[in-house]
Amino acid sequence: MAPAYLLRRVAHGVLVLVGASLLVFVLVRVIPGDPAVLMLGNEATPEALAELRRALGLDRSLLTQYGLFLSDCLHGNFGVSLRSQRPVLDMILESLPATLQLTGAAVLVSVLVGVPVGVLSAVRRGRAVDDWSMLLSLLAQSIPNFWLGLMLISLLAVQLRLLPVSGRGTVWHLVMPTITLSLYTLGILIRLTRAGMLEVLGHEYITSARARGVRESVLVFKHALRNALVPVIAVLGVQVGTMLGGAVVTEAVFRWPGIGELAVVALAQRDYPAIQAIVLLSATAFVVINFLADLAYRLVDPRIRLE
Amino acid sequence: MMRMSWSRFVTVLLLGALGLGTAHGVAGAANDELTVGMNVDPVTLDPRHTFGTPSISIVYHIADKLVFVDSKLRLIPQLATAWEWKDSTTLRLTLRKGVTFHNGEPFTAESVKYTIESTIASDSKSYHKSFLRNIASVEVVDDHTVDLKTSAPFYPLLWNLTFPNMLPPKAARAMGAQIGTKLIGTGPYRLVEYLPGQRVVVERNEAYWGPKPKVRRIVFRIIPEDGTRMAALQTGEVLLAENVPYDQIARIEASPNLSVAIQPGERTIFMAMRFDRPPFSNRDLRLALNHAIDREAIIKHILSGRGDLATAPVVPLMFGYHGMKPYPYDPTRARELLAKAGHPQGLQIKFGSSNGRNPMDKQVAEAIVGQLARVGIQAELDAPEWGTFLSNVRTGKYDVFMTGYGAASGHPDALFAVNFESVGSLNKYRNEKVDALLAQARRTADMEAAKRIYAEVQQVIWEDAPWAALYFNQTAIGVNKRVKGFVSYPSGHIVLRDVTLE
Repeated sequence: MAPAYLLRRVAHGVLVLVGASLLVFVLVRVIPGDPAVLMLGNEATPEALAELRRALGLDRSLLTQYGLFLSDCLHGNFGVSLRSQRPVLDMILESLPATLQLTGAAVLVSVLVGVPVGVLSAVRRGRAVDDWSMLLSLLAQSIPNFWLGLMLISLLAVQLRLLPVSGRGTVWHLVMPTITLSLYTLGILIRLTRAGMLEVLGHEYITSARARGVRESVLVFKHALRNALVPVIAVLGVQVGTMLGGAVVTEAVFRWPGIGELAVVALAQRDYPAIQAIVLLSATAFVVINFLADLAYRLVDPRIRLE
Repeated sequence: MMRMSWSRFVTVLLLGALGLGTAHGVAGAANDELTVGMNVDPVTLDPRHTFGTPSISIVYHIADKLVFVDSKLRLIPQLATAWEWKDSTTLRLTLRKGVTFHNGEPFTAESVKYTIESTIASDSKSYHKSFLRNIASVEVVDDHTVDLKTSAPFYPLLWNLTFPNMLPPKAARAMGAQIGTKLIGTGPYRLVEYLPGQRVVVERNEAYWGPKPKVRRIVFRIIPEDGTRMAALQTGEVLLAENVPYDQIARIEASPNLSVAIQPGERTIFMAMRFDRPPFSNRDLRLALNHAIDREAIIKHILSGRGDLATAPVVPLMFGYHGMKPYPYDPTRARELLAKAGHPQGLQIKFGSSNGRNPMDKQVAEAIVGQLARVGIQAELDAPEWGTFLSNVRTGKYDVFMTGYGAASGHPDALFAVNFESVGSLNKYRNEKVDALLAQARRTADMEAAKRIYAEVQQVIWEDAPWAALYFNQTAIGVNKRVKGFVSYPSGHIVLRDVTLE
């Protein structure tokens, strides 16, 4: 791998993060809502509010505040939550495992189901299996996950008493949130895999391999799937980032104690340091995952040069 | 490789299924463990920084207060056994003897001094700061006597002492912000575990100074999503659940093992009109708005009957409540008043409403838009989340805003100050007579005389109509029938000191 390429990617990533930090910094301060009022309440005197704003450093110029924020970040200090008075980083690290577990399970399920169904659909093009899997893909992409979550709870937990309603603990707690979070990506993967497979299966080298008497299963899984997976991986990279965001809704419905829940509470309280750190961290995850996806292309298809 | 991980997965599923058999459908032993579904994460358990009903409910089981408000909004002794005004600016508290914190530290006058001083310190970020700000100093007389000196006579102070929970000075100083996750108090339960965003677990304090609670262990599970919390109540995962949405009460009550405890609350839902600028600087227009709203229809059709017609700015259980006749729904009169105020063709206003802060608030606001349109007032509704709403109220974006206000302490001083006193009024109400009466009430030692003053304040406000008071809220808590002896509080606080579990 070319060092110049790596350097460029890192520089690019840093630029994205600085942009994200600036954006979130400005946005949380532009939206209406005053953390001092939310903390001290309507009963607070104007003097007490002014005093608190001063204590929180909110009376300084935006530029000064942003400069301090950036320099603190570079020193690994993401600030103290206005609401809990605890270091924001501690709070994030407590919630992160839950989000990673849920996103990981959802990615796993969407790949393990989406890719085979997509392959099957392409191989049996125009038959009943194809129709059903296309319907599944359509539904998966169009059902709102908030609604789906509540329906699953109503059916599997309340009516049939098969699964716990909410929370995190046993593997059973993971089932409904995983289904809810994975469904959208699953739908996309079915469609993408199918389209990729159909395209590759039409290539001449497949026809010639078939003419040479290569077994159909080898043809499909070894020759075709490998090439069809390149766009799938590219999209999956973006989807993982989207899932980290989509987890906000899923986490709320199932009370999954992850980053999404932390973000919702922080936003309601205008907890600036917490919001900033969560967004910055998510942006970092997004950048890293995309980079990993780029590396993964190369593993799947060595012809792709990372330059 | 692939095959191995699948077999492992299947094993996990099977083991999980075995676990499921024991986790579900088996009732726990009597009085052993009670699980409660709360609708907000406390975020911190430091009593100085907790606000909102759910957080206060949780903290209250761990850390006692000086004075407590009972289910009828009466003051009862907790860590202060007696109180007496030595002079107009000195409140002497006699403290309970033989009380220790969960870490062994004794509860003394120093604990009171530390808790109050750290709450009102200039760099304090405490939500209780405003309620205790009249305290100029805390003077320790002896181990079990403490004098609170106020800067000026302020008799509502006693009620405001229902806010702070007492903290152990040594431990709290050493712990700093950690007290927020490892709270130590003198309460009937001690904190076992706080997993932010998930649950707070407490266990009975066997060395409690008062009657020991019956239930050994309480798990407060945090489930903010209404549908999910109600599902957990139905499956028995939680035995108590806060805030049953009004439109789900019938469904919950239909279940043979569940009931819903309904209780008149301490909050008034109102529309406040911007008093300092047109159009609502005109009294006729304020009266027109009062007559344009069909409050009874709102209570009946939108709240499913879960509200009481407002007969004063404060609820009947509040200190000094003075009941009056509500403005009747009279669209004809409203139109006449509108014309008299110089708007025969009607007018357009900006109407803000809280959203999700009080039950069905947005739906009520939408109904009001329709009712106002019938008399010729075109209201442009904005119902954002709380932080935005509050900011818009304070920056004057709305001509009229609707939300709720109450006082869990049972004393209306703060409510009147925030809404009707010139210095703090959110809708910029200004009335010299009200200002003078409120100031007088604060320095009136005779409680009966104070009540008469508050009655006069309410009369003036009712006639001047800076508000259209709509209804008094009701709280609805879902209760599994295994829970016996549960009593609802007007504040909506969940108090589990006396419940038993079958």
